[in-house]
Amino acid sequence: MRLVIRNCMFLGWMLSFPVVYSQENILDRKIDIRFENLSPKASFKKLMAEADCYINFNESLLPSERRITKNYKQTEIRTIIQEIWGSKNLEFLAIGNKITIKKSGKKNPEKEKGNLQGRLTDDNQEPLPGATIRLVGTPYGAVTGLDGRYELNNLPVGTYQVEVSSLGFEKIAKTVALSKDNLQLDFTLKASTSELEEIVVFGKTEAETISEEAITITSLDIKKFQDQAIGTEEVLKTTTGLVVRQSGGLGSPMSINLNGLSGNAVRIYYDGIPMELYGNGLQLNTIPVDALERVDVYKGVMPIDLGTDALGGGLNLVPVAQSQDYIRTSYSFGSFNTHRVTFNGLKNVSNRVSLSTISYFNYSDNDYRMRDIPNLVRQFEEERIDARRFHNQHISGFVEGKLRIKALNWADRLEFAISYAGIADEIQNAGRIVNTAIGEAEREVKVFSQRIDYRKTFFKDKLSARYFGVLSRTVDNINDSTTNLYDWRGEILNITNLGGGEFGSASLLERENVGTAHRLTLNYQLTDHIDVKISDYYRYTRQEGEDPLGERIAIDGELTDPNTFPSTFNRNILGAELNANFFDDKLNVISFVKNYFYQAESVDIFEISVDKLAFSKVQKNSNGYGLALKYQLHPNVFFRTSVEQALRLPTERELLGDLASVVPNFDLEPEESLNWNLGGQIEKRFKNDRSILVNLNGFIRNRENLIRPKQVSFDRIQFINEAEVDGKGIELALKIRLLKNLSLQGNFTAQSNEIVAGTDLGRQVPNIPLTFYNVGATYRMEDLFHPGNSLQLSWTYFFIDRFSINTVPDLDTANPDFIVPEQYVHNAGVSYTLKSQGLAFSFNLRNVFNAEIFDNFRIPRPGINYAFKINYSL
Amino acid sequence: MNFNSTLTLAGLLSLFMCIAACSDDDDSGVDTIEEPTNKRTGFVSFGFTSNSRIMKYFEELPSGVVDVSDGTDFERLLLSSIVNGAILTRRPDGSPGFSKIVVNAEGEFVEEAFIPLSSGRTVISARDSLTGVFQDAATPDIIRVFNPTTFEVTGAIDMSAGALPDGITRQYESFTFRGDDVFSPFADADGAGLTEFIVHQANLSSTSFVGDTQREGNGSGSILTSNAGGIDLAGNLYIPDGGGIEPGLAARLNKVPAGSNEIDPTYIFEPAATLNPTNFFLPYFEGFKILESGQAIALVNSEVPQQALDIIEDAGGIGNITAVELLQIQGIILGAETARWCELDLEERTVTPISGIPNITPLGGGSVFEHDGDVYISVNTEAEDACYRWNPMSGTVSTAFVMTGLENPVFYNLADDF
Repeated sequence: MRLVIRNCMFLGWMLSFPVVYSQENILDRKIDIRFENLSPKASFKKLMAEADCYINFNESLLPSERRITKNYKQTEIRTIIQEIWGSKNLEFLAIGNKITIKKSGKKNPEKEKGNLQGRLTDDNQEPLPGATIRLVGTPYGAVTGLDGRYELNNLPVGTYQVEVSSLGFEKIAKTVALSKDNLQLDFTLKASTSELEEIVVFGKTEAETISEEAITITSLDIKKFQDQAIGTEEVLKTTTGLVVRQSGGLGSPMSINLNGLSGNAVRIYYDGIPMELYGNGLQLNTIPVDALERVDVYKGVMPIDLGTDALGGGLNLVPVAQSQDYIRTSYSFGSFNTHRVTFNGLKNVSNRVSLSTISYFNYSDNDYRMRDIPNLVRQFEEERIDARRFHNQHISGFVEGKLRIKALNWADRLEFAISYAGIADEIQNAGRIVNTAIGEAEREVKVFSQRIDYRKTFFKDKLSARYFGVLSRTVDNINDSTTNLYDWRGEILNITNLGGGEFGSASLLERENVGTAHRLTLNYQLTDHIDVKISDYYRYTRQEGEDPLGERIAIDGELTDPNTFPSTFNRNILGAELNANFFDDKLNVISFVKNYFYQAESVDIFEISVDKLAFSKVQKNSNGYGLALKYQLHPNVFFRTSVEQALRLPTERELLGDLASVVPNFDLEPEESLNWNLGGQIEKRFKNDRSILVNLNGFIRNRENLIRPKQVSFDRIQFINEAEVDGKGIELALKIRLLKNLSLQGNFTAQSNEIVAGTDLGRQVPNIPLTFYNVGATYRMEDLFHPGNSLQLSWTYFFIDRFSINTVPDLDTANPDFIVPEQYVHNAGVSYTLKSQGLAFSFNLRNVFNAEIFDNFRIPRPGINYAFKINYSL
Repeated sequence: MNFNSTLTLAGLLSLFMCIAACSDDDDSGVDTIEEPTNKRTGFVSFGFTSNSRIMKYFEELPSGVVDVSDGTDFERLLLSSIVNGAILTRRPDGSPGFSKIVVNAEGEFVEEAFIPLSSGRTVISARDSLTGVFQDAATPDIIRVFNPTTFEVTGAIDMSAGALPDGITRQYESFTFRGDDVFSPFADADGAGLTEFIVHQANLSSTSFVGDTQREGNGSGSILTSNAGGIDLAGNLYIPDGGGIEPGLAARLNKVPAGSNEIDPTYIFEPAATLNPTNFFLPYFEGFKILESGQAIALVNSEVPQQALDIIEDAGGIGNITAVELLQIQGIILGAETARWCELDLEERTVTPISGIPNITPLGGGSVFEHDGDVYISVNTEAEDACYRWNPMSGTVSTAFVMTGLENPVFYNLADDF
């Protein structure tokens, strides 16, 4: 019976995802690697790159004066690390491809070390791959390989409680005394519902490491929020300088305001690929935290191998990336009939080949209550009511399958990924709340994309190359043709909407957008301290469609749908970067130049009485540049500054018009911004895991040639270059660990975005708060109710200062009808993790005190609401 | 108690009785006159920031340089009419419908009432403090009658009998009152080009459709101005059209003679073409107004900019210009300061530029109001935003004041209804 159960479980796994455990201890892996007069830090960097692993270590303990020159052949990674460090007095924790190094406090460790090894089998004596062996109360652990064997080497001599667990089997714990000799310890596990133990990796996270680069980046470690029932956009709200704007609930249109810039000035990337390539099929607020490793927020300055034409910086959503086998799934439900399901996993088919998937599904009715909104009762009669949003359903899904091949003769790593994203939305009033609702209009987006990612090093690793290419096809459907008119109670009004269409002119638009993007990045190591990098990004899009209800133009006497004529857009961004280190790598200097080229072509609707179509073409060429400096004054103190003359190319609509109310402007110049950051960070660690981190950053964003619409004829607008804005601000991020289990954090932003040219001279850019902050506390209780289980309590308070949606000289004298008042929001969460079962439960409350809160243009946001989430991982 | 004391007591009693009697009268519903709490006089500036509108109240007409930026901000606003000190406008929060905004005793703008609609772009106009009209886009065949004082809808006029080209949804562009009649030209609500200029007529007393009349020469593409017409001292009604959006069809002042309901086909007065017959590209005028004196003024486009002519010449003639060149020319014409405020002689059909007022763009017609016998015209040029004072009797022109701080600021007189 147990065998049947076990086989059924494995069958289930195989159906959902082909999982077979094959886990090697990465420390035992033998590699070839060559160091030439490298510092220990640079050596670790090279080791991580070549061994495809991540090494956590305390830089302050590194012997920075050492220089390493050695050619290793088939040498264990453990040995290489020890030799880089110059000591065997090290403790390791290896989980998957992550290695944490701690310098042992014990003297003469060689005399006190022992090894533990053995084999795990089930009760049929079949080997158990992927099982976890943990020495309770220590950082030591291992995962069994395909043959069920494990090995823990260099363990301090002593008595240990060895805990062994595997999915579908009962956990075993056994106390053993380890001498300096090898100890063989085999286990036979009985089938049960017990699951894998998760081991927490401590040390500096990848996000923390990235946040300390010369270019000002705030990297948010999304993984640590994965158990919580919150969305990615909610994590983003807890950083400095960033305001997330939503016009509704889950999946509603949103925008990011970063250091005072928003809209097209802030680019969003998914795994380095501009999100717009996915159409609207992939959105920041539909991607659950489960799908992401981290979000890198680039403030004003973008590296050449990521950036496109981001005027004010960008966000790169980095999807989960693991090299060890795993499965992770979650389900959450909450207010407004919201359900979210995720499923991610990876399986190493062999040492070289792995398969992985990231997938999610979202559903929500988004029927939250809005207070005191206008509602049309009948013709010429309006009331104010509290109304529940309706016809606001959101459905979205995403699935990506990826094949990764490593260590080929012609490729260090080669990935093929195929993804499908879909969104089906009932459209509701989003831009502003007026006295009628939308009751029937709908939108659907389907995106199918393919991606290839290739990496290879040449010339003894001095030259590294990376290429990615994406091909995507997006189909966008809008169905908005009803002549009914709805009130906010969901009733059809006895008023006819003569023109049809609820949120614009009547439309049955179906539009196809085929796009492709390619980036090639070459990095050459000139010396141990100087790298040169070149990166070229090319993107092409072609759009056409049809709208049976849309505007028509006359061609040779025939009325023709202009959507049927394709418009194309080409852009190319070429960048070159010099990255140099001086003074024992304490000073890092990055300088770069970028060239922006774009070309657009579209049918020209102003051709009158023509016999054939008139296509207009326009192309532009512009340059940008930047510089970043970082000085590591002390292992825990650094200062940095970065500057970029950034550009944003006009969008297709701004340049080519929309074949309706927007007139093309082929003379439109790119927006420009001089972005400057200056800041530093101090981190101090104390005994008992207490620490404090202070990150202070000032920024300047001086923007010119800002694009704005101008009325150019009776019923048409044209985008022109005009406005100038001087932005400046200061951001403070604080992280304080008061106790081992209690951490506090605060993020404070004060900014100004003053218009310095034109009529609005001296006024603030409207609809942007000047001051906002959040403070939060997290308390974690370990081993609660059961060893290994933990409970985490969190509380976050957000404050957003009042702001006007109009351009006003002074808030104190501004019309209060158009001021969004101060907002105070409290969110709370609790999560309980059963490590041994791979389970985590969380409950999150948002807007705990049911405050009346608003977003962009005073759009009502939900009152108190909750979400419950269950996570399961292997 | 001496005599004086007795007299004093009697006086006080009498006074009390009077006060008591007056109070009784009040209670019994006898009408009393309440002092108006809202401003009926004074001036209002109106202008734009990049995303909002600003209004500012002035007790007296300013002079010199005046900053108009520190007024009250509104998200959306479009002044349609001023009646009895009240401003009739689209709703300031962007909701569909109309608002009545008054200036209270403290000089603050207060939305006193509103008429909600379900959609769209429509205009509202008041004849006087008791009667006005608007069109609701949801029922385009009907003109609504309302009371500008109470802001209540009081009636409806079915206009469906009026002439209407096929496929056109009427959108009335302006209302001109002649006694109890209202005349209104229309465009297509969906923006389709209209080849006819048709004026519908309704009667406010009987709330009924009266008839329609058309411009002579219909058939070419035309645009309709949103400017209302006016009535001269002889009772003749003049309704301007906008001429053709394509070159060739000049904007015309259409005359409906006193006692008639038809456009007089023999009266052909095209101010732009009269001012400059070579102005073939945009022979357009707007801002037509008949003053209390009976004189008429308008902003008349006077010429085709040389830059546009050069493009046409380089292309080898207007028949050879490309779509991109046409777009360029449109941009040049709409941005060039080629329009002049002119005095129109409606009888002689002559156009006389008012010298001393700078040229502005053809669509830049600002506000015009009368005050103490002078005419005040707001002009917005690249060089300045100013209000010019023109005395129609003497013909003198001077700068009344310069406005700063807003885009395209204009001035209104709360006491000068329109």
